[in-house]
Amino acid sequence: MKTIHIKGLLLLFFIFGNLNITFSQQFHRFSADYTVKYKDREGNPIMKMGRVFYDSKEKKIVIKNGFPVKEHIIYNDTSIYYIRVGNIVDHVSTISPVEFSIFHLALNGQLSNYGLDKAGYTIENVIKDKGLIISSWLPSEKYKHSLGEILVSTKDKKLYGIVFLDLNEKIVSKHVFHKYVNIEGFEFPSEVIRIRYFDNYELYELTSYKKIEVNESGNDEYYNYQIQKK
Amino acid sequence: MIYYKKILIVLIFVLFGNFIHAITLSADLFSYDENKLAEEFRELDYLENLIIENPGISIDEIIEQNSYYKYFLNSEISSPLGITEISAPGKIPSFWWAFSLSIVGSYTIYGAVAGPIAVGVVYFSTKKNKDETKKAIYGCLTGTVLGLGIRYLTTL
Repeated sequence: MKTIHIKGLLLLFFIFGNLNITFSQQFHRFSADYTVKYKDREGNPIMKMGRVFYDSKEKKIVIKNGFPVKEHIIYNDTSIYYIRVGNIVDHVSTISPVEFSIFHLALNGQLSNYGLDKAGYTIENVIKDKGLIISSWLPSEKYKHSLGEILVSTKDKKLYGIVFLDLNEKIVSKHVFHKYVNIEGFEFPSEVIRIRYFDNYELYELTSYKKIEVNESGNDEYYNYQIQKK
Repeated sequence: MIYYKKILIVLIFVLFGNFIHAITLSADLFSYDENKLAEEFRELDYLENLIIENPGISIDEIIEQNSYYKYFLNSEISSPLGITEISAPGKIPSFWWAFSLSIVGSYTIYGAVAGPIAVGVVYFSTKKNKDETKKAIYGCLTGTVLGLGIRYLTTL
C-alpha cells in the first residue's frame, strides 16, 4: 500500500513537473519595427525607422535601418558595425554589454529591475507612492565613487521608470517605459521615453515599437548576422 | 553612559540624515511633461505616418512636400563613404552596374545600348533618384570610353 502511494506521488510530481516545462514558455528571439525620434542640441529633428532583431543566444542586436539611410547596424559586447550595401562603412569599439539591453532583459524576464541586481547594484530603499513601487539602487563598492544612484519604479509589477543620478544626486537622465503589449505571455513596452538633462536644457527621445514578434523561426540571417570582413 | 550614546546616535541621524539620503523618493521623480513631448515630435509624427503610408518614398520627395525635413539631407545622416542606397539590381552600386554593362556593350559594338539601358534601370529602380542616376551615367560614360579604347587597341 505504502509503495503504491509513493509511486502515485512520483507520478504526480512527474506530470506536474512536465506540465510546468510545457506551459512556461521560454523566449529567446525578439523582433519589432521601431521608430526613434529626437532632436539634436541645435533643435534639428532626427528620426530613424527600421526593424530590430535580437536572439539572446547569439547576443547581437541587429538593426535593419530603413530611414533615412538603408544600413545594418550590429551591436555586440565590444563593437558597433555600420554596414551599407554589404560593406562595413564604420566600426566603433565600445563596451556596451548587450545583456543589459531592453531586448535581452525582457526576453529573460529581468526587465522589472533593469537587471541592476546582475550588474552588481544593491537595493537601498523601497517605498510606495501614487501606485508606483520605487526602489533606490547603489553601485558596488568598487564604483561608488564614479557611478551615482539609480532609482527604479514599477507599476503592476512591470518596469515603469528609471532615473539615473550623478554623484551629487542630480538627475542625469530619465527613462519611462509604458504602453506594454503582451505577445503570448511576453510583455514589452511599446513606447520608451528618454529624457537627458543638461545645465540649461533637456533632450527628449521617443522610441516606439510595432509589429513585435517573439521566437520567430525565419530571418536567421538577421538574428545571427555574419559580418563579412573584407 | 549608554543613555548618552543613544542621544548621540539620534543626533547623528537628525543632523546628517539628509546627507545619508539627500533625494526623497517619490513618484514625481518619474514624471515628465507630456505636452512638451507631444509638441516636440509633432512634425516627426507626421513624417512617420507619411513613410508608413508611402513605403519607399525618397527623401527628395519628402522634402518636396515639406522643406522642414531638409535636415535629413545633412552629412551626419548620409553615408560617410558616399554609399547611400542599394540601388541597382543584385545590390550592385549604380556606377559599377552601368560601367560593367557599358564596357562589355561598347567593346562588342552591337551591345552599345547596354549602357543606356543600365542607366534606365537605375533611374526606375531608385524611383528617379538623381544622385544614383548621375552615378550610373558616369559609370556608363567611363565604361563606354574604356570599352571602345580596348576595342581600338585590340584591332590595330
